[in-house]
Amino acid sequence: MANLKEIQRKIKSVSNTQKTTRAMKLVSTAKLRRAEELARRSRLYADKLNEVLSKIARGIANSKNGEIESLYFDTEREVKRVAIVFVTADKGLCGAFNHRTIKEVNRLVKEFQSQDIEVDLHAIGKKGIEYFKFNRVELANSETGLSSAPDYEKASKLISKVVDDFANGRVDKVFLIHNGYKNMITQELKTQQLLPVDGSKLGASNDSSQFEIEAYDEEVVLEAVLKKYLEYSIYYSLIDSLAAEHSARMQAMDAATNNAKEMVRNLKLQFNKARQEAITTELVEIISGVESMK
Amino acid sequence: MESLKLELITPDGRIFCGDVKEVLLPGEEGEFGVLPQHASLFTLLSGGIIEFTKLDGSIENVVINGGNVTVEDNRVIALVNGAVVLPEHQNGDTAKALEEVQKLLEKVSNNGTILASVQSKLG
Repeated sequence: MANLKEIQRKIKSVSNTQKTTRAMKLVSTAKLRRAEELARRSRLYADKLNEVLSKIARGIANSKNGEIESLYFDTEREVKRVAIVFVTADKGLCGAFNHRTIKEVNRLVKEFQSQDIEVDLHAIGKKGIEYFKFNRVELANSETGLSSAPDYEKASKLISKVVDDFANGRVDKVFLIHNGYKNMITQELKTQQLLPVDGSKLGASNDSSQFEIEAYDEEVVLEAVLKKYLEYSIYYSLIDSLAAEHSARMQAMDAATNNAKEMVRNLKLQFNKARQEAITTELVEIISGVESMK
Repeated sequence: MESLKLELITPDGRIFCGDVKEVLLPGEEGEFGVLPQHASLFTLLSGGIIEFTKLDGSIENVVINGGNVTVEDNRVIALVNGAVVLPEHQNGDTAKALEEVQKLLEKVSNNGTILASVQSKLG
């Protein structure tokens, strides 16, 4: 009889968990819709900014016989130290979302270390920070609260530190890694090289139209746009990552709800079997008792 | 009648896209106007007011807090950091618009002069 009670308790606990996971799934679905809308709208700006940057870079390069005398475009610089900025979520319960990013970061770190290149890690998001703290890997910079609520100002402050490092020659390359939103059910890991900017990779348009840059100093314009581009890149990656996080959590919670449902079904089956068994035993006992009295 | 295609894009999405007759933009080095057949141009924008005349002759004002603009092939693409569309003279809620503008321009250095001109536009 104790067994029956045990199973009943289990059923109750599992169906309670199921309620929680279902609620979390619904919350994520609602949040995803908002985050997705935000990401969709800012993508337009990001695309245009990319286009503009590549156009002026090309414009300046053309007028100066293919050479841009900017530190930020110097792809031939010797690489001794790289900075990796990566975005993870502040919360867990979203499947392999955070782990995928961390795995990629680890892979890159190993790759660079095998080439004797030092790595500075800049972490955004609690989960990534916790992981590297636990493994006693030093982080150059860490920021929490930004991945659940993207904020342009904070993001630009963060990137300006990295850009300063680059300008001072402390680091020679800057990478940005985040898990981006592809559609409702897939996320895509995106790794991009922020600095130095590879002019040939920016934008796809290859028109050779001539621009008149209306300023005293073209380089100043280029730098202003470049800065905007970097700030926006990181801000956009935060938005993109947030949308991806919600979609990953939605999926994980959906799977958890289904698993719980399956578990309840199995437990019910077990319960029924146990009950039947108890009844049968009781019947046998009664019948054999009656038989023995004859 | 020749026209220009104007696009105003903020990080929160496109706020205007359409054909216009003329655009006045607050460039970093002074205000300038763009008419159809303008030469290709790129420049930075400071805080100020973008004023454009639509095909039906009506004028619209958008306050911005900086950005950049590309003029090419009769297309004007302005990427701005933030923007507030000013309401038409008669039916707009001027006080509310002013407040929004003030918030937008908080970090722009010469916001006093811009605010004054916004005030005069709102009449």
